[in-house]
Amino acid sequence: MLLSIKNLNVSYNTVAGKYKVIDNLNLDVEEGELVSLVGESASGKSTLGQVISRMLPPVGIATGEVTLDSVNILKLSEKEMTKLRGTTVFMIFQNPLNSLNPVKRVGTQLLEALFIRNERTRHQMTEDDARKEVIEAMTSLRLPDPEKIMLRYPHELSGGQVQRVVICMALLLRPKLLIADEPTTALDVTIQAQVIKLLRDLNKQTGLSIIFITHDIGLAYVLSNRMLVFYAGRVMELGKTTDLVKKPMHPYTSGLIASIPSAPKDSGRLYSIPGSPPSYLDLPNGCKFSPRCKFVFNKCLNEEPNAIVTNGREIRCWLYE
Amino acid sequence: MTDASLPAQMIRKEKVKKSNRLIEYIKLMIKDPSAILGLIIVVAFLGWSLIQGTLELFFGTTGPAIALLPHDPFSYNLPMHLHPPTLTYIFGTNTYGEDIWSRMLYAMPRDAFISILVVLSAILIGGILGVFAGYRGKFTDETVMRITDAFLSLPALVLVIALSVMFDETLSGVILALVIIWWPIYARFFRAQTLRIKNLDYVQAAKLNNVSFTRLFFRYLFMNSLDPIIAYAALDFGNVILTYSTLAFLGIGLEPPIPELGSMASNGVGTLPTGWWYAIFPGLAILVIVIGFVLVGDRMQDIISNRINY
Amino acid sequence: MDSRTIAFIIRRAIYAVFTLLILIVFIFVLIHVIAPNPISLAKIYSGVPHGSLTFYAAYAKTHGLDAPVYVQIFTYIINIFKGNFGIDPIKDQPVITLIGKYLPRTLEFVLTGIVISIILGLYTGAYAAARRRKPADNTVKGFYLATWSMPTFLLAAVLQLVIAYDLRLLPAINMVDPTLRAPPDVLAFPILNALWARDWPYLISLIHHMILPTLAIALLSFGIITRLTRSTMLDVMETDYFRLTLMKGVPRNKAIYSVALRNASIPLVTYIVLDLAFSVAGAVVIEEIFSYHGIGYYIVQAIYNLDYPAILGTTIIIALTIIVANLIADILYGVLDPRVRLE
Repeated sequence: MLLSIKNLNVSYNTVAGKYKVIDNLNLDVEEGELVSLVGESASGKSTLGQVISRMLPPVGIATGEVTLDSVNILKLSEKEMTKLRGTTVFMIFQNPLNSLNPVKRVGTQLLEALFIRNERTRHQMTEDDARKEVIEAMTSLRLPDPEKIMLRYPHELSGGQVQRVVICMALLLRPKLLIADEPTTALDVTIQAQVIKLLRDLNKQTGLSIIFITHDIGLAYVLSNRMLVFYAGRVMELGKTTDLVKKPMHPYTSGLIASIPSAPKDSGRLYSIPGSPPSYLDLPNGCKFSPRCKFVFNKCLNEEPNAIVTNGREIRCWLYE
Repeated sequence: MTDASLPAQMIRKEKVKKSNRLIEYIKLMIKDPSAILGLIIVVAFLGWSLIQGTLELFFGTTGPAIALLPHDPFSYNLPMHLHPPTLTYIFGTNTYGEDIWSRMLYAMPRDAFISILVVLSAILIGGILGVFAGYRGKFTDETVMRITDAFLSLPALVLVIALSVMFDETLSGVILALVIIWWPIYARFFRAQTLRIKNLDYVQAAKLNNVSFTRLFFRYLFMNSLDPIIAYAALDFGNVILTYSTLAFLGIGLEPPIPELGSMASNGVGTLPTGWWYAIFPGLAILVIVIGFVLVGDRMQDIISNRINY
Repeated sequence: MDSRTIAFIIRRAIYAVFTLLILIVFIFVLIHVIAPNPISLAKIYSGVPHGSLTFYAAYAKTHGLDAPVYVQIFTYIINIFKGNFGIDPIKDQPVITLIGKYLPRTLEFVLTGIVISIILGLYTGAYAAARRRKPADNTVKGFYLATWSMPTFLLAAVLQLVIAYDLRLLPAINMVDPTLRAPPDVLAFPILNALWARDWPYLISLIHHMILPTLAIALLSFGIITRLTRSTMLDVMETDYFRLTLMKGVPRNKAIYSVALRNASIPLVTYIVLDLAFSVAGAVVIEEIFSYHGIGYYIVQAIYNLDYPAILGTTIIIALTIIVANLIADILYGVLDPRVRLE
């Protein structure tokens, strides 16, 4: 088991009040697994990525147990955690255009990543070999003219190129777990597909575990083995991706699937879940999805359902209890 | 949207929900201890200035105008000259034996009045020119921006000195000089805000609805630009007080025998080795007042730019 | 340097000339608003406050003050570009010569003070930002708030009182020991002159007298630099590229002092010019207190004597200095930031 999260609670302590962003989350990720995390914006899904890499903003407080590579990282000091970042866990951010240091050349930043890995594995490497390895990694990601790109500054590259450079960084660091936080949102569709393919190949070829965070259930379906549907900081449904998409059990999951735009042979009307996600400062009683749920009944409004396991999937809904 | 900005996002949602923004604003303000300190200083300074200033306006230098002060700020008491701080004269006396604390209290309304007048005039002038430049664009914009450039590239104090001397070094001359120097930065702020606002839906809608130009200008563009500018202005009151006190130190814009914090400190500099309190206490008063404004302004800026989550 | 950068520099230079022209016209207009007729203009330019009417009329005639306004503004601008600011009536020397004598003395200690405050301020600001909301951050904040909010004259006076009068560590006033003979003026800056002439006692005395004013300038701008560094640092530390640097496994301290400080220092370049302007203004007061005979002292003397040519001349020269500094900062910005903003 690479990652095991038990009873994770995360809250933000701000001047506007204290609120919970993740409520009692449990999740295991095996080595080589590709898990996706689906939810609307502000559902707390990015927070999870920040917890695993210990990059929460200072107001965030995480309690529970997050065991990564058999270490409970919530108990580590910042110094010890630094040693895990990069080579054990690595995260790709949403906005590629801002994720490279604007004043350093691309090559320098990639070499820095490689040096970090070599330092950790106590591997000696000459400057030339390092350069060669970086160029190899860039070629494998189909970045055109790697030598030239290495001499460029980030602002001289396109968004898709920058995102591939960041993925290249992951290749050089060889982490055990990669968290990709909406890595394709800011890219246009053709490049989106390339990046998705890249991630899948990476997973197949190197056995890298990936947690893919997205709001697009379609992308999650293409990419992942297992899927986690997140709403208001809670896991609503968790199971095999194909099962979940083909036979969604939770009303929220089916809502998400119904709102995927499909071929125009349909009536042409696009479904959307009514209402909008609740504010964390003012969560509804009972089931958090109840105000927007089609099947809502009395119990939903008063009591929050617990996560139960049926048909090999975990679900949080009164319909199935 | 990453979750790092999530708390801020939530707060903003809350802010919209509550109808009374001012109360919400003050609530956020007083959650920070240093902002409370700043608020206390500013309220005390402005409150005192309002009361004492009114009395001075009607009664000048005698009778009720000095009734609230512990001592008569204008009575010479040569045997008691340059007396160190005691219980009766808490900040000591000056070379004429006048009570320093009473003179400081008498001087404060003037600093309050000048800073408010200068900042408000600067907002008004800078606002009108800035909104106009941003709204009209092109040549108007370019002209106004080059003019502000010229002013902003100068040490304000040097220009104020030159202007005040040309205006005969009177108090009104100094105020005029300060206003001339102070408006360009506000013109910049208002222009930037207007550029942001003018293409928003509600301004476009107002235009389509044939809202009159004056109304569009003031209600839609000017008023909606104000928020971030007020935060800077709060901080700016302190800057005016500092600049004015420096002018007073150089002997510009004084109306003797009326005391002024800057000139008191200036007169005291000569006697520093024998009576430090003469210069130090008026100087400290300026320091405390300016810090008060800075603390309030800083916090307001944090609230507006949604940086309060840390 | 590519052609785009050169175009950028040229555009900036044109802006700078424009800025200066606007300022000169503004001052010209102002003089003419205050003195709307040739006689009162003569009163301002001649520097003789209580002359006879015939004297003023004659002065106006010989100096072309009765010419049409457009001719006057033209001559005025040309005179300024020629460096002709008139004669200082008190010292009976051309204003430009006097400025040439006083300005280097001021720049000498102001620039030293700024360099010190930049080095300290960058480090302190970064240090505070790295420890946001912790006691160290609050201490730094308290310190810069105090130096920033303190009237300059109070700061200088307290330094003088404690270090010079009480502890007797350094001289309280003057620019150099008045009993020493000055070396010949070759390089405009007194320190360089002393070095050139190898006049060591004079040099040591100069430096000795320079420390307190320099310290005052450094303290004055320390607050500004620290405050700006701290807030820009905090902005950079919230960017994705800073977080990605940490994510790569770079230790936090290294990320802060190499990545964040390097990026935060770019916008600071422009602020440093602001700080220069602020410090030159501060020098006016500081020189008055330390009886340091630089440009500030010259301005204050001019105020006391209502010496208009001197006041106008120094204002324009200081403006020119700041405008040139601004231009340099713009170019430097382009060098430091590969993204050169070409608007």
